[in-house]
Amino acid sequence: MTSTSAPPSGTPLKLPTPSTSHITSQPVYPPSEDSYLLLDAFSLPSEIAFISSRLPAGTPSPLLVEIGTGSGVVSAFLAAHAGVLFGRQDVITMGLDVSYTANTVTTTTISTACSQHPETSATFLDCMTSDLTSCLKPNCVDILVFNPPYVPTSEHPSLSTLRDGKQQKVIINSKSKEDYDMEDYLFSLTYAGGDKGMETTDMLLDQLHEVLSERGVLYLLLCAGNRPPEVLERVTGMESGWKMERVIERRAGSEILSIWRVYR
Amino acid sequence: MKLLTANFLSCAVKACKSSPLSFPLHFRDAELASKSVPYNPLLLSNLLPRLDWPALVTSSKELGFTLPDTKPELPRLSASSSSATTADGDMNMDGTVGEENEKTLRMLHKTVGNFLLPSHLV
Repeated sequence: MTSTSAPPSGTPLKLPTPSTSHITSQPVYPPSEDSYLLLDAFSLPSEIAFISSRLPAGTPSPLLVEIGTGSGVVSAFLAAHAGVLFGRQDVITMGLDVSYTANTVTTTTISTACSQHPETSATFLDCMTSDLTSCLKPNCVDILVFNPPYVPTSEHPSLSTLRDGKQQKVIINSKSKEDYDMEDYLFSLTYAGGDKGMETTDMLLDQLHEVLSERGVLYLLLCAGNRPPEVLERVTGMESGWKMERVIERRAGSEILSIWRVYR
Repeated sequence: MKLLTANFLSCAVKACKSSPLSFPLHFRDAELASKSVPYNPLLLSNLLPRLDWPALVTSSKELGFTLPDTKPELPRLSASSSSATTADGDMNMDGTVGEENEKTLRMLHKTVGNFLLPSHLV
């Protein structure tokens, strides 16, 4: 039940970052320090070795899912360079986001990146508008990536505007007050994590045993405000023997960001 | 949405997850577009074991084409590029996908499926 930090893990590979030049004025979370930290985490030789040992070539095709794809830069990076990062190209990928605009943008980001790297790319299936992984069959995800809304905020925005409001449309070049209000709301969903910045992450952790396959691994981004030692204690105390290990950590402005892997 | 995607989706209502009706979701009024993709024997041989074949057969019937009722044996599959292309085809569909009892129809809007539930079903 005890967990330790991963051993020193060398220098990340320098694989090209996917283009997001098609994102002009769509209200999606742009590629940021936390996104790039995820790219670096997966590019560590030690992490490449870890994933290859969990999901060895020749075993059934791994399903890779990202929750909250935003611009799509992380999913596109993983999908385009699957052959290098996972040691196999027979990986299938899906993107999930509550924002329809993010899903349309991400579809382009992933498709473009994969078409530019046919010699290493995975097979991209689809993006879906979904709250966490609620649309998926239970226990089918092998690699789950989550850069959550992690900023501690006094309020945790509800999804009811998206759930019960008008059918979402692609928002680009906003001109009306309605569009600007929706932009503000979507932006709040990208960062506002409520109490300790953990309210959305806690929801995922509660269901993790129904989301990951037996061999599945969650890659989770935390900031110092999430109190990673408390999260570690919670995860390693959950039923069925979860492990949680730090993959990489970096100061980014006033924040200290870290990526953790969680698996059985 | 692609045909293969549907093999990994189920009804988003938590209380439905354990019901056999929650999978597969059913296509209705769907418009099928097919696109040939390069034959990829590695993907086929490693993806096949994790597909729910009866569900794939159901989905294909709803979309107007036929797959064999039994999951192809791998050696046969790698020798048969025609069925291989079908299984790996890029199927884009518009229409609806939902549970058989029609209570939770999900719109497929411009190929991005919407599985966000209204608040009263969460």
